[in-house]
Amino acid sequence: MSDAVAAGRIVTLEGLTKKFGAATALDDLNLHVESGQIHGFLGPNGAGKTTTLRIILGLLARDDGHAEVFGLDPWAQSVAIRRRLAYVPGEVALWPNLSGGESIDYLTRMRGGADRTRVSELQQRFDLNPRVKVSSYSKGNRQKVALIAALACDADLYIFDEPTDGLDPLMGEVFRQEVDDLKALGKTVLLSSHVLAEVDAVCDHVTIIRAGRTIETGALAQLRHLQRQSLVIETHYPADISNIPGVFDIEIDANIVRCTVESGALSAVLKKATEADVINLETRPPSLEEMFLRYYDRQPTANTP
Amino acid sequence: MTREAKLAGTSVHIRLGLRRDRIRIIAWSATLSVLIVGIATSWDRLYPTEESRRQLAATLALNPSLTAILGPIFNPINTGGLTAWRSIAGYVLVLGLVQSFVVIRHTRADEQVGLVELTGSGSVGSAARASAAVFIAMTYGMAFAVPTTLGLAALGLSVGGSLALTVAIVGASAVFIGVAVVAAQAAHSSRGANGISGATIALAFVISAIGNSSTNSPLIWLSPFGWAEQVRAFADERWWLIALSLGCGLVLAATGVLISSNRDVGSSLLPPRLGRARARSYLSSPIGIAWRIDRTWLMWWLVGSALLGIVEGSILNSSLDAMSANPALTKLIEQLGGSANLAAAFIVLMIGIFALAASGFAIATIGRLGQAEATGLAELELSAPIPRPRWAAGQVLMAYAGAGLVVLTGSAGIGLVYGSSVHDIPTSLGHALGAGLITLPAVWLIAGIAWLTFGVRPHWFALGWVVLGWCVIAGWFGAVLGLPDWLLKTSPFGHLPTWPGAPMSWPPIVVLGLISAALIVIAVRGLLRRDIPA
Repeated sequence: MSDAVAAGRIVTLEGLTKKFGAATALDDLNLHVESGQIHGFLGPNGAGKTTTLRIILGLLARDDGHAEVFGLDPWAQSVAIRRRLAYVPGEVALWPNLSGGESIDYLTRMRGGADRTRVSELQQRFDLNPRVKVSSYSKGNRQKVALIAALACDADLYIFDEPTDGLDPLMGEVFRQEVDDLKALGKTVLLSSHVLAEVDAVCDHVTIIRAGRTIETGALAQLRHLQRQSLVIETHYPADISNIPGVFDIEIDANIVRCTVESGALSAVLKKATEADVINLETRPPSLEEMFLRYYDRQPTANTP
Repeated sequence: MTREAKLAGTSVHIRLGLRRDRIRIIAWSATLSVLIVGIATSWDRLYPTEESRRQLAATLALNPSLTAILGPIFNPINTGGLTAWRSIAGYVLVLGLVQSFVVIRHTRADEQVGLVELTGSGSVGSAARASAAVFIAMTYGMAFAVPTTLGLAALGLSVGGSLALTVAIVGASAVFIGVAVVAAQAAHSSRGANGISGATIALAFVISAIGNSSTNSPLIWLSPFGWAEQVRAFADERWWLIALSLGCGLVLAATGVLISSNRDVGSSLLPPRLGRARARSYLSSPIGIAWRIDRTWLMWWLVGSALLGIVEGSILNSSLDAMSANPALTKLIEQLGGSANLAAAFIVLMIGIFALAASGFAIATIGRLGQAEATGLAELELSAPIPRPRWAAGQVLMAYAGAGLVVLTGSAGIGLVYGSSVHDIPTSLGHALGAGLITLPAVWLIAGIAWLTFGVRPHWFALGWVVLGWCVIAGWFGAVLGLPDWLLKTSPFGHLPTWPGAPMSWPPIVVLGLISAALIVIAVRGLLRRDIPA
């Protein structure tokens, strides 16, 4: 066992590359997940999140780079690694003529079995009728089957690929509670998503990738600067906000100001706006794509804090 | 909604569907039209004189079981009449199945995987998808009918008769298109809809077979097979029967389209059946799941194989005398069956059909692995701690063992029925089962090609079907089409000893067995090395 595992490192990916024909899926990707972390794996669609997870699972061979999961090589020692993890793919396909209950039983048995009362409890919490045939299930219900089968197993590492994509908001909340419970038990979770808010709600660490490359990683608290608000303020008189620290991307068009603001600078901006007599105010959290455009494609256009 | 609104988007669906199916349409069109033209060219060689053709008709009159299956012969003197007799039932059967599955693939199957939600959210009318599916299925029919009519006419057969033959087939098959549109509304899953369609076609075939086995039975008028046969292509055609088929198909299709435009997406006339809340204990290994998924499919194959074996066993008994009176037919069977003992040659010939069919079973069963990989199911299964070969082993074992059972069940049927009629069951059963076992190395070689392509390069999976198609052509039409011997020997089935008609020869069995084993080893190595999904 390597030193990294002794120090509690579950996943180590360094300089990972993967090509599919001429297309480069991963290009120098780094990902470190420590034991006990709820680790968000964030990136826009097509960034290489699923490819990375498939390399961890031993389904895809990496072209270059170093990879270790539980101190083992995910390609050569995949079965030993899979003994310790549970996985929910982004697009869940099942056996059409099996019922949901049969599918859950088969999946958990293949992973070494699960506690029966735990399965029943999860079926109730996720509101899944186990007798309905899979062919009659919606995407969300198929996802529930895979989630229940994974959560019912006693694994060291849980990997979820876009887990709430097909779930309604209520079930998304149930899922978040289950992740909190895993965290309380000291389990490690790797959760891929393209939705910042989802990662923000459950994760304590995050790795952000784009075009197959890691661009940010760290504790979520350190990455608060990612969580800026976009503002559009219309005032009667020109509002001067250019000297406030924590305000970026300022665009002034007569009496309309567009900018992005860190949460710490919000009240200062609003104060200036009020002085200029606010007519209209729009605010929204930036989308992930927008965030990438603003923060990683070009330098900040305003004063740095 | 107005009618225009309900049909909005139909042409887009048609274009999309034709684009998705273009290779299949061309492949089916080429296969079906080349084959029927090939049949038409064979008669002058097999029955060159008017006298030999009269003799054939007389022989057939003595053989109700063959007439039951192929239908009556209306004009034995004319090459076109013989071609119509030989092809019509088989073509209605095959084209009917193909077109039904096309309709269901473009309606219920798309709906089941959620494609309808994707494409249905635009400005698409509620009747568009089903209407487009009918049009796409009809394209398959036209792609067969046009080149076939031209091909037959080019051989010098009458244009009217050629047209009557192809349109009679397309018309009867249109009834099954209509059935499929309704089945797609009735069943909740594409499997269920395919089952309803397939069962309807089988029932129609059986009804016409019973009707044909006695004279003047009204039953032939209850089946599209009977309608197509009674068009009497090349024998004073009765065109109005084609109108009957087409009209019937149109009414059924319109009913289906109407239902589809008045129901919710994802719903069905028949409620989905509930399953078990918990899995049985055997469902805990890849072999367990393969058995659970494919047992019904295997059972149907075994039932079909047993029934066909019984039919063949009884044909063999009732027609051996008649056939031995006909030197041309005897020559053909001995050539195909590979020996001078007519009964043994016939058994080997019949078991050859089971071997080819079982190879198809094996390819399709292994094909489920590719489907699992394409849908993402394989990814979920392989996140469990099992090695890849073990994951695939369940399905592969099902394919190899199931194919063996299909051959042996049919062989046992032939052996038992023929044996009981000649009062020597042990000998006949032994001969039939032995002849069945002999084919297995070749069957497993074809299965091995499917398994190899899946293991090494799943994008090439169709190769197994292509090879099997070639084996069918080489084995069944090669001699008739006059293909050279070396070409025929490219089929593994061409190397099998024709025991019990001829002495047993072990080297080909050993060589074919070794090749099959090598394919398995290479497939496993490939599967361990490649990416999933590839």
